[in-house]
Amino acid sequence: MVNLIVDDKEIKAEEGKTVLQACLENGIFIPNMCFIKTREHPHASCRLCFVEIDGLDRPVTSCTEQVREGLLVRTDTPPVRRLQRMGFKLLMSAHHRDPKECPVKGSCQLIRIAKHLKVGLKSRPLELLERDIDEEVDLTFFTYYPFRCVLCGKCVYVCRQKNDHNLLTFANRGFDTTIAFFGSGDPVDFPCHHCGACAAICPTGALVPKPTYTKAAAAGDSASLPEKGELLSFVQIEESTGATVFDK
Amino acid sequence: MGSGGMVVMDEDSCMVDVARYFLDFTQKESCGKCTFCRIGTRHLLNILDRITKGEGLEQDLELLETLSQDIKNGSLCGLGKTAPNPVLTSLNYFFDEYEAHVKEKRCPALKCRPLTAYYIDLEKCARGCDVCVGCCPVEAIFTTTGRKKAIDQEVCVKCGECMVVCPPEYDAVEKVSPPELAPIIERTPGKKSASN
Repeated sequence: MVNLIVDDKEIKAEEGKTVLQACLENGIFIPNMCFIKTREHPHASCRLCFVEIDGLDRPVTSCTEQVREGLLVRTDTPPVRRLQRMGFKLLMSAHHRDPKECPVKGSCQLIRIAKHLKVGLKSRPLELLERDIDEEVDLTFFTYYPFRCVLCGKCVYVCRQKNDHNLLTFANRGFDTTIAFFGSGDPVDFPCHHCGACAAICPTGALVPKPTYTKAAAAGDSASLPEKGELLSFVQIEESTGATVFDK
Repeated sequence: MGSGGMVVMDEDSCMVDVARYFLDFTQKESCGKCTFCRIGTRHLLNILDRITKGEGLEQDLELLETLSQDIKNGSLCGLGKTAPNPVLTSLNYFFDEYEAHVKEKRCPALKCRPLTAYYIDLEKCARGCDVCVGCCPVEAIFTTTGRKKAIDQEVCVKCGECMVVCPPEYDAVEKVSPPELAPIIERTPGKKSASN
């Protein structure tokens, strides 16, 4: 175990863990979207988990910093907040808010982060961006909502962990990046087991399983979507920290 | 590894347009993984696009500066960290060009098409010479009083061909910014243009 000081509070952490993991485990919230607890190499794509570390002249992402004995960390300095708020506003400028339809309203990770950073959900002064993609995309077993997606990559990771094949993937490049599902043709031939892990792990409700597959589960179909209780046994979102726990 | 290069530009290069060009390149090359580069550089490009079209606002300049700094500090890789450099350095060294675009809707380099206009100086234009009329791809040049030529501003696409072909002894075509400086000469209805 190593000792480090975060915001003048002494905490302990196992060696090999990252500063973000250490903070979340000790009840110190740091905004994050793409963090998965048991993932070996962080995705580091959301760029929200910045902290300032004594000795480094610029804020760094806490998900990529290993803990060290005596590390001095601050999570709330003006440079950190500035980057986090801008990063958040950038995400909101590409996000269409639809409170009536959104399946995670009230529990969305974005709302949690907004409260922590003390910012609104509007993207001002940035304008809302247009994207050359439909509001709803059919991905065979579920519907994908690109305007809710923050491209955190959690669904892609979870699918790879649970299946032999990587059925979900990033497609296109740059600003047009989107999530795509491998396979066309008869869905019966797909190796997807309808575990629903991707939909459960999505922090913004961008993947919604289709009702037809839920009904199939109810009818005792072999390709069945597990009950809600079953889903939560291998994908959990911790209430207190917003960190996603994934057990194989 | 790699090489260094130097690009030399003269007063005919618009620095705002150059910054916009590099951001367009960045947006095409960005991998799209991290939020700052993927979304941030799109905002920078949109703002620079608007400025070069004469739709820039006062607050755009401050936003360009803050957003560029944040993209530089927040990006995951070197592409994102260096992408805002053309914006930051051109704001630093050529702020007057940005201000002209936003406040006066004027392009000092006479490069940004929506902010420029061509017109024919009637004192210099020779009678009976039809070179510009023939070269105009959209037939925007017509004959006016004294058999001299004039450009119809509503039709002109600002390609600059007339300026290229006008014989050097006359050199009658002028380019100005902002476009309001070009005199409006009406086509006289019923009078045939020299091309008919």
